[in-house]
Amino acid sequence: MSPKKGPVRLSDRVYKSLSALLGGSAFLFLFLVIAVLLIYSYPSFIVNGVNFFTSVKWDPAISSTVVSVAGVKAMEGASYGMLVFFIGTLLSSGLALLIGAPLSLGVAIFLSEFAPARVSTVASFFVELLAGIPSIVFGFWGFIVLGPYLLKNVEPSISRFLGFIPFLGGHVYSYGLPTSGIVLALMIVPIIASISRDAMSQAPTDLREAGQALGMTKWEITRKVVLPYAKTAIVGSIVLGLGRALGETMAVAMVSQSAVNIVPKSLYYPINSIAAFMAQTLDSAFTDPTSMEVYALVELAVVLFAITTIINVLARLLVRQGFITSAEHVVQV
Amino acid sequence: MENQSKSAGVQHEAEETPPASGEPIIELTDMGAFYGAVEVLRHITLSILRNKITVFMGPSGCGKSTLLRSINRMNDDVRGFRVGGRITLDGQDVYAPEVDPILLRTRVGMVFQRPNPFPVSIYDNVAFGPRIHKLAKGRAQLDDIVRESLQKATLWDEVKDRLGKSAIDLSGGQQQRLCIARALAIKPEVILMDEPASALDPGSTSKVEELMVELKENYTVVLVTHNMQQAARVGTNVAFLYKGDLVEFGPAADVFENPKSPLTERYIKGML
Ligand SMILES: Nc1ncnc2c1ncn2[C@@H]1O[C@H](COP(=O)(O)OP(=O)(O)O)[C@@H](O)[C@H]1O
Ligand SMILES: [Mg+2]
Repeated sequence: MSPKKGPVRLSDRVYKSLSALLGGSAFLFLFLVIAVLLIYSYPSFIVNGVNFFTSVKWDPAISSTVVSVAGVKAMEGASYGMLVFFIGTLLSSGLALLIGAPLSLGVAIFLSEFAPARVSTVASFFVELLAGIPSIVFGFWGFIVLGPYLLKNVEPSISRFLGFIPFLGGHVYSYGLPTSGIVLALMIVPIIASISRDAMSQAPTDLREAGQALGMTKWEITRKVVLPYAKTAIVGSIVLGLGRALGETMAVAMVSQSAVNIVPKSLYYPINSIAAFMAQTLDSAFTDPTSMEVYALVELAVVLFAITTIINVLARLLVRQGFITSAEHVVQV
Repeated sequence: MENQSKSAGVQHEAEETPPASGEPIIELTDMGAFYGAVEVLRHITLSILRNKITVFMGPSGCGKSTLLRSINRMNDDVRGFRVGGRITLDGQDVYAPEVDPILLRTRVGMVFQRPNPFPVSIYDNVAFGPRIHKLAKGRAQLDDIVRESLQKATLWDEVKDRLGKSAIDLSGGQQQRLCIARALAIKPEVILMDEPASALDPGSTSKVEELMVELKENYTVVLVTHNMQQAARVGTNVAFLYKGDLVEFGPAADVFENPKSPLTERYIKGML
């Protein structure tokens, strides 16, 4: 029937190979990134070994002498330990999630289920506006307003009244950890809230009406129908938000109070994160004549990459195995 | 075999029906409905009798669903929706301020045009309502409610071996009977059905029709359909709605064999 059979087929083929190329290029980029990370971190793996994962001390020993370790040049007495940054990254992102995820879900549930249409439209716009604020602005706000306020007015009270809870007691040294957590929380709220809201509002009307006709309240419909329907997207949005928090560089660099060689023993310590420390240190690392500090920073990047990958995989398993499904979703009998 | 004898029973039903008499459970008095400024139902006055099947028929858009959804207040959240006149259940105005729509809906269940089981197991679908309303003390009681509801919906024999399997894998007709079982599980008095068979194949349709006739032994059934044959087969009383007006209301046999209004007559002859 079609007189244009030939050309149609040709364009089909062009389209197919083009999309295969573009699809394949994603894998290629990923492969290249991993390859570069591994190549540039290899000398650090060789020289620093297990010490990298167990040590708190990061000291390039820049004015000592060059020696050769296992055939790789390094400064004598230098120590590259990731623990301060690893722990700081997990603590600040964990705190961000602890604050940000419930807040985001609350916002999403309100916008999708309870707010009148007009309010929802306006409020959704502001939530998305929040997502567009550059991280340096968040950083400045944390540095100038939030951090000093927490240090002066909030942390002493928490320490006094909730000090019996582990990690919340003790002397107040710094606003680094809570400020990082709160700033990161605000940065991930728009991500989690807007994706979750979209997923919730897509819960089919006929399922909502099924619940309504069974005499369920709006809140019960939200919990038993809407949330189970949207749970995959919600977990996905949380992982996305967590990824953002783990990798956030500038804001954390500004408010963490840049800890080195010290692991936080309470909420009131300065911290540092992998990404923030890398940005702070890269410049001076190039003054290391053996380049070992650069290699060690790349190894930090490998660790960060590993953390986000593991979290992604765990989230996928969580959704698939139904750990977080509601009781109604667990197949019974 | 069994199906055929039941179908025969259904056929008889319409013919044997006495004139509209019995105990009213739901009464509409000068009832009207508006979406915003648009009046879609006006001056509807009629009684729905206990343990009977009352059918609303009429062309698409005449207000059948709106009428049905006004009874259990499903349109409460629709912006600009308003009901005028009175709708009473056992003499109580269902729109009175002291009436809790949640409780009302536990007394007046609903089945929809498109089967809408939850994407969970067959068991959990039926157990949904009883769990929400805490109707069962313990697992054994819940099991009983689920079994009885599925039996009443004539689905038990088909699913008893796979209660834990997903409801989504059932056929359309089975899904609709599951939705009926789900509605029955919270022990309503009235069941509203909005074109419950219009998305089903003929075999499933006749199963659902048989089921409706069985249900009226214990429940009051209100059926919306645009299928005249169905209305004639199962209806005790039949209402014909046209563009928001109640044109005719009476025993099924009268409405179909001896319509009072020329409009009804034309509708029955397929001329509307
Ligand atoms: N949510 C709504 N908002 C505004 N108008 C509506 C809404 N639902 C139905 N209508 C209108 O009300 C009238 C009756 O609709 P409906 O009760 O669904 O009729 P039926 O079920 O008989 O097909 C139609 O004109 C329809 O367009
Ligand atoms: Mg309708």
